Amino acid sequence: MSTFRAEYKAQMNGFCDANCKTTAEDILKRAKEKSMSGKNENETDNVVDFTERKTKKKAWKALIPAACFLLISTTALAATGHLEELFRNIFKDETTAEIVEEGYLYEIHQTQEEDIFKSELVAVTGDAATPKLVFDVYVSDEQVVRNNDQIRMLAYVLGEEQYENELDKYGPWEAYGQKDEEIPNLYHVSMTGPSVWMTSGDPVVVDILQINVDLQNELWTTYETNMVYHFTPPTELYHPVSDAYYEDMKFSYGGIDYYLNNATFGVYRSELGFQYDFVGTTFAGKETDYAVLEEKLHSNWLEFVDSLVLVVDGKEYKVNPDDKGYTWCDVKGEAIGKNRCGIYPSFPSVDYENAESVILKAGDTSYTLK
Amino acid sequence: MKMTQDLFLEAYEKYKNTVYSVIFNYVKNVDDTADLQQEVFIKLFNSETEYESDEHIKAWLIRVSANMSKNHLRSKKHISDAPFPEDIPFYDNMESDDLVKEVLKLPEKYRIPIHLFYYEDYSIKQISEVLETPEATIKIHLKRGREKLKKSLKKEDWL
Repeated sequence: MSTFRAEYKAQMNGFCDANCKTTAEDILKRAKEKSMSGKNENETDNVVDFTERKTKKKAWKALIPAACFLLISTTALAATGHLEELFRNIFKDETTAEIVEEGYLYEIHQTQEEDIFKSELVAVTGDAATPKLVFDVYVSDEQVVRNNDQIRMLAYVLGEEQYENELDKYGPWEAYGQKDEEIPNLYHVSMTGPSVWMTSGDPVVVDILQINVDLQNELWTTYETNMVYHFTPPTELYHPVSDAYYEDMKFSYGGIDYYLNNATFGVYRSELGFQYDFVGTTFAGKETDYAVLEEKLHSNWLEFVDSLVLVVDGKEYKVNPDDKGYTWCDVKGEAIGKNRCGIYPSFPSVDYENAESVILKAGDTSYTLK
Repeated sequence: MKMTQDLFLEAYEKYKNTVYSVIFNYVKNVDDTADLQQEVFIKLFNSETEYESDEHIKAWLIRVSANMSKNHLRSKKHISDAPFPEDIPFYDNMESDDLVKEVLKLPEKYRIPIHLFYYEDYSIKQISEVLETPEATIKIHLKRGREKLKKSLKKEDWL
């Protein structure tokens, strides 16, 4: 007796066989042409050996299709390939290169000019916890180009409402631009942005407010700019992350009870979210002023996160030594409660979805997260 | 294993219908499907990914096909779960392919899991992983997709 499965497979195979005319050799030829198109002018006389293509593809150019049914969207493909190369070769960021390769990318291509700079916001990529903005910055001053292998950029990245009404509450994001290997006055910038605004599905504003360059012999000059971009990144553009929420998981350290509230497991890092109250603790005694305690509180949470061990399927992970995370205190009671603080230690990325067991330990205290 | 020319040719022969059918299930247009299929395989050829197995290559191809199809639809600004258009040319040429036609009439959120379940023999867990959607959601979409198909095919006990 025929089944739906067998019948559907047979019909779909028939449909594919009737319509899919391209041969493996056609595609291979196209793929090789694609590699060829990535070579610079001096290299085009040589046949691209398969084993060499990884180091030689660079500048993407339009392809000439061999037949009309082979016509493909070269612009989109070239942009994607270009960005993969940028992350792999310029930013040395293999994780993002793979994310781009898998199609987690939103192209923007908005250009602003000011002073000696022409800056294009090329695209947004990353995961839902760590979005990344990519800029191409052209510099028209030859002396600046000669003296700088890098440039430093500061930019506000905010929701539209926050940008228009609450700019003074937020600080800018910082990134360094790397010089292109072939175009001398082009710098590529990969800037991490705030997930809270960039993954909301609402309009985002990016305002490049400052670019720093070395004018000569470490004589640094600041260019104040106001290059503003408006765009609305779709929420599904980012590589997904795993979020988890917890209750009643208390870790006591240095006279403060830290409660694990949530965790985000992304492709770049794992971030745990703890909350604590300092007023009325043995740590604070009778002191209730956050400003008085701030420095000591800071030392305490940094020591606390050093004691944490995340154990995933038996493998132990400590907090990232170069980026232990950040803290924030709600001294006015505007968000999570008056004098309630959050700490967000950062751990290496782990495969939470496929892990059998995830445990968080600190001293004698241990909780199973999965 | 890294992608090599031999591995690429083998993968193309083995998975060309997998890629073609996934893309077609999204874009419902033979010309766009042919273009996107090539883009996916060119990506595979240029991929730096270390593949653990044939299944890994297949899952990668399906995920990239799905993402590129969605990007393509988004770029054309015609994301929609609207009913399958009756007037597009290839539809008239598919008289004998009733099941494919009926699956294509399903909304995208039911259509893709149904396709992967019945054509690729993927489990709910595999569909969940490749579409990056929770298993519970996939179960519901498969159930609702089957219910719609039963009605449209008028065969209650076939699926």
